Amino acid sequence: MRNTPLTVLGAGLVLLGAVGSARAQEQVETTTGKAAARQPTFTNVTDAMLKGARSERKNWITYGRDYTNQRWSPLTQINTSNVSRLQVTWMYQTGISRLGSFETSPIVVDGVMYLTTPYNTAMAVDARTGRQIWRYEHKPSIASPIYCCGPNNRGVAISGGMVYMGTLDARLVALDAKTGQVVWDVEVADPEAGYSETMAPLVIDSMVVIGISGAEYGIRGFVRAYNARDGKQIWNFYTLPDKGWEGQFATHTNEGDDLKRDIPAEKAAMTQYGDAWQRGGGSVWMTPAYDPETHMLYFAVGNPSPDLDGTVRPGDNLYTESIVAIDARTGEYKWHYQEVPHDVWDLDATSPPVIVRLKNGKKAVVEAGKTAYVYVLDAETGKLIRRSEEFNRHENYFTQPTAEGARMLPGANGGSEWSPTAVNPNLGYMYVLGLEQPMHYITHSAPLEKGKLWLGSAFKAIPGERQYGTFTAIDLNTGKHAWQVETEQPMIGGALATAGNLVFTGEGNGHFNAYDARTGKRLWTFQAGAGCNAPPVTYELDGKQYIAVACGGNFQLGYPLGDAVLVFALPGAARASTK
Amino acid sequence: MIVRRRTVVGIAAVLFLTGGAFTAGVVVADAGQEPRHPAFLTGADWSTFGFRDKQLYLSGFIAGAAAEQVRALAVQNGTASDSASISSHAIAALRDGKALDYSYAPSVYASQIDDFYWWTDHASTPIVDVMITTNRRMKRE
Repeated sequence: MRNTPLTVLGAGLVLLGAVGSARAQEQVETTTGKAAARQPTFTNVTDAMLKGARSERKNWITYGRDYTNQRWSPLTQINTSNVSRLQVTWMYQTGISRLGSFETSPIVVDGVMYLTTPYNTAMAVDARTGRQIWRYEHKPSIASPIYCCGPNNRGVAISGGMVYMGTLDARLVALDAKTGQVVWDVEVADPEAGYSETMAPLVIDSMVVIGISGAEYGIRGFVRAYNARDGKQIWNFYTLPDKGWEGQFATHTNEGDDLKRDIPAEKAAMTQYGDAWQRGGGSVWMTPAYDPETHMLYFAVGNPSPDLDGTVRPGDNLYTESIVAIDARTGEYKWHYQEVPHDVWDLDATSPPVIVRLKNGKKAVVEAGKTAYVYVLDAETGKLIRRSEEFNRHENYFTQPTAEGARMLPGANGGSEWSPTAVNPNLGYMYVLGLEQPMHYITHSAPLEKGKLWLGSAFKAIPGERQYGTFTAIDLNTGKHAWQVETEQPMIGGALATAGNLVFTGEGNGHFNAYDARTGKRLWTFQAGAGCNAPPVTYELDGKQYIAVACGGNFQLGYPLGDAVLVFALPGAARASTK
Repeated sequence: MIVRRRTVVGIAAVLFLTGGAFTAGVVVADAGQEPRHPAFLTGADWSTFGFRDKQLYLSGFIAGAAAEQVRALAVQNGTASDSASISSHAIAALRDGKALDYSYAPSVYASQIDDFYWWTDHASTPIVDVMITTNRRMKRE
């Protein structure tokens, strides 16, 4: 990246937009010449469409497919009886010059797929053929944006003919959905203070809602809403309150685990560090869930800052490591549930919360923690309904870090990392990706592995100890495992569940897999040649169901990098067979 | 090597000045020794800094670097005698134009320096040198 003055940046964006526009025009003309019926339509996504995404079958128009974040599709053309015949239909290679973890979750609207890459390139692609329609390459406003855990981007939001992307230099960019031209571009926070954006935004009632990352650099986290039309800020919610940040000095978690805290020492440190909320972290890494009936917005708040040194941030460090509910119309606080008070193990709440309806009719918010438990919370009050069985092992849980290194499971990556879960509402199962990584927690400041994990923190995978992954179906009505499979490497990326009784997920070794959602039996696999460490999606076009996934590896875990989006379908699938 | 000797001498000088008791084997400063200049603190010192110490050290560094940048600019522009050219207002103007040499927040630099000193063989490098090279790298990337 080069240091680009703002004036040059502005001119560059206009030029890029013009090029994008020309390309789009060229694409449309070419496609028109071949088959008018197959031309991308560039549908304007409305608020009503976003609210109705649950019942709409064909598209994938928001990060979690609909506001519940369930990543559940009603499509059934690909199902347990035929998935073994699934094959690649097309592949799109982004052609970016610098690789990183490829974590995008595609958005698909009426034949157009919107993607993002590491370092903030966004593109529109013909979802039938993989042909690129336009491409936008974001030029950062500072020479070297500061970000934790790789130059990632997890996708866009779309609404009203615009595509919204957060950027590593902490900006929110609105692009014309037809051309890729910049419509507006605002700074969400100061990138030179360590703020950055990697999450996919969420559009609600013509507002673009976005959280912030940077808790590895002493930021104060927040969630903000912007006017989708012009980028003007509407409301702000700080994830660290200026009053009551210290909480109740909890000695145990809400579920009764001893946190082994030195409460007198923390209280004594309040005199010196009572203002630590100003730099206390609290990133919001992933896209919130939203309930249009109640206007409640649910999101997960990550680690306090500094990650492991709790001596300089006494108290419970609210609302870090919490699920938080606010009113999406105003940003007003409603409730929170803290998974780990005063965390010194980097056990973030990162995986996106999911709204479900339990068998007893109660609406719940569910989140898979790095703690290796799934939390099922009352959506109205935030009270714990149940905590699941562990989906990864616990050893020396909440042991305090030492100078020599204290061994603990789960390690700092989880449990569940940022990976979105999926839910099959018919079965009541949630599908969770897990990591088994025993780690040493060390009290002095140091990065884990130079060049691999840039957290500036002292946790380290234990050499010689076996690491592996888990993929677990958890019955949300009981908290018990329905099934669990082990994978050879820790799992990161995300899941997709379909009404074909399938659940899809990928591995770092390049395997992209389909499992029977009821039993966990692997029914199909494809070797992609790079880690499939992104959430899959599905959509239907011309009566044909497709499965799409980005397979570009993961930089943190050392999985092979690449830049391909793969799209699968059944050979010769009949039109309208899913009706 | 010189820096290491000075470290011991400097600490001893502080102890002497504050009336600390010396035990056998501790190097005693001669009366002419001055405390070390902050520019010569190294990774050994950095490792003893707490969170707030790092923030304060780097805040001072960044403020000093900004003051020097506007001073040098004023000399270059022939406005060194204009007090407004060498002031916090001038620094603010550079900041707004994203033209400050040391533009990142103390917490960002602290994380970079932590990373650098994670390598134990880097411990003797002065913090100032780490700041200069780190900033140069970040500006270049």
